[in-house]
Amino acid sequence: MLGFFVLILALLFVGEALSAAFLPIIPGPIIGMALLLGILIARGGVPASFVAPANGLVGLLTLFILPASLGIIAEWGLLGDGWPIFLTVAAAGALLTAAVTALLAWALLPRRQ
Amino acid sequence: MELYPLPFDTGLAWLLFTLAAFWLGTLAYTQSAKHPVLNPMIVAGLLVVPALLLTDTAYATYAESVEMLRWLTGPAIVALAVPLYQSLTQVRQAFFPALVVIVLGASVAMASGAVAMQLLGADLAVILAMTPKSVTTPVAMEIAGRLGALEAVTALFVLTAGVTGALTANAVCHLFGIQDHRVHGLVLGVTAHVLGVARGYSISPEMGTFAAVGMGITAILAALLLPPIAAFVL
Repeated sequence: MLGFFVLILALLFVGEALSAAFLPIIPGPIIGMALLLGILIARGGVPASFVAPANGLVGLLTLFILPASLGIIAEWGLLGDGWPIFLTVAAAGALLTAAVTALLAWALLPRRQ
Repeated sequence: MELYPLPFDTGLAWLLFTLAAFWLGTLAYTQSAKHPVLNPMIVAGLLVVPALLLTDTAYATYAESVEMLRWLTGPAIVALAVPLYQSLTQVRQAFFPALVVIVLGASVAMASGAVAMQLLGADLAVILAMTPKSVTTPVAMEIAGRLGALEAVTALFVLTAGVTGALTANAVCHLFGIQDHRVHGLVLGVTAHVLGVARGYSISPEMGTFAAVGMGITAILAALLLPPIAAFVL
């Protein structure tokens, strides 16, 4: 458990440092996640002691981003009168994405025996 | 000087209220068999926003009170690699075709909203906020920060796309006569991020696993592609 948190914070630190020094356009936490994914692939498995704390942290991601999401009350004015159209665009884009992805997956995934 | 400041001064009250609201939201979500509309973020938002307005609390004051939660986003995004790795190992021989599907599907997700917003003549910060709408919210907000897009507006678009996708993905697949749970899963993950993954797991483990792979790769792809593309176009 403690080892997991040391590794997570170390990778976050390295990710933030790489982001600041070389890759300002890629967020530090994403670099940290990619590094951890690389470590797990190289290692060929997830240490048993990592599973519970990782699931705990990931399961609460929605809570962690809740305060930033509620910033909508501060940013709402910037959306202007266009918000019903903008939300319709977001919904319509999701429908289009679903349709295209479904047809592509149907065409490209190997058929089951 | 007060030796024992009131919890209202320390922000503990807002932290407690936020956690309690989110906990109620989680209960509503599980009790409703994970209905996308009753997800914890919507329920908690419907409790916290009126409370902020009623007490005339500025958003900046609230954000400062619950800063601890926001800080934990970074470590949790790094930890996403663990469930992603576990899902990847279960996909096996379907991985490369699935990767092609995800890359193309995620490209449609990123481009479609931005093009429509451009045609509508929206402000740049709002157009940019639309590009990561099918990316899981924490990653989408990190990307929005790098793009110069409005972060909370991004979260609102992500929520809208996620609820729409989670509610309609299975129906869209059935419309095309597709029964394959792997296809349903990819559509859920690429379109509706974590809401789609929850939907997928509620139907079958296979659908959930493919949705998790779809969500994870879409997130990585968007984080790697959107900022350079935006920097090039703008």
